[in-house]
Amino acid sequence: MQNRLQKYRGDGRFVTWALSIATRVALSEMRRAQWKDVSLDAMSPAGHLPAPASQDSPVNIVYERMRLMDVVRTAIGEKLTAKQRDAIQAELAGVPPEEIANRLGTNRNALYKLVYDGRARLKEAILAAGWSEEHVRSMLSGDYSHE
Amino acid sequence: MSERDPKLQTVIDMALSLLPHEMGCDNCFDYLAAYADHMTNGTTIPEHLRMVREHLARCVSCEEEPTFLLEAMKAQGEEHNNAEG
Ligand SMILES: [Zn+2]
Repeated sequence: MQNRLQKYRGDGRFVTWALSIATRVALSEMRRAQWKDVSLDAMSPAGHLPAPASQDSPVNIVYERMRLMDVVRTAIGEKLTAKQRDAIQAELAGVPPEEIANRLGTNRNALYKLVYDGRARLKEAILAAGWSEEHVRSMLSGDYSHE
Repeated sequence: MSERDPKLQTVIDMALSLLPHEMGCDNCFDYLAAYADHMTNGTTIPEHLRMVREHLARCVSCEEEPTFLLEAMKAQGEEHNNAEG
């Protein structure tokens, strides 16, 4: 935050910029206080990502969805780094990213990049399985009407 | 494991919503004050601030900040008016 104090860009009101810093500091402290006694191990169970598992080949919509879930589970297990998995898992458990970053010994911006790279790997795995983005969205919503 | 596992669906949403160029938290913060000023003034959000909006829509860490910032701006404005009046 110290660095931020030297970064006023001049493209907004100074008072708004000063308030934005105060807001971030206050929110960070609130979140830290809320999660300070929760260990990293205890953060995970609520958002625990399922372990890789296998299912039969798809023969209809339900089986296709099962195959999609299987592809994603496998990608989580095989394509993500342990840090990416931990970060996504903790995010799913509702842990504030600042606190995840704190526990992983990184910062909020680097955590965003870590998760971004993980999302990219998962997306790549989904598309590599032969589905288009649109088809996957249809599968999830159950709406195949536009296909 | 159900074929409708909600956590996996969230993970799939996270993956599919990926954009080629996403703004990070630090950049978002650098532009947040200017973004909040536009919101307060009701002026059109310029192109370079649209990425702020996109980041806020997908980052659980930053999404709360505009709400609190706008509240703080409102309180600061009222205090300023009271001091003058
Ligand atoms: Zn963010």
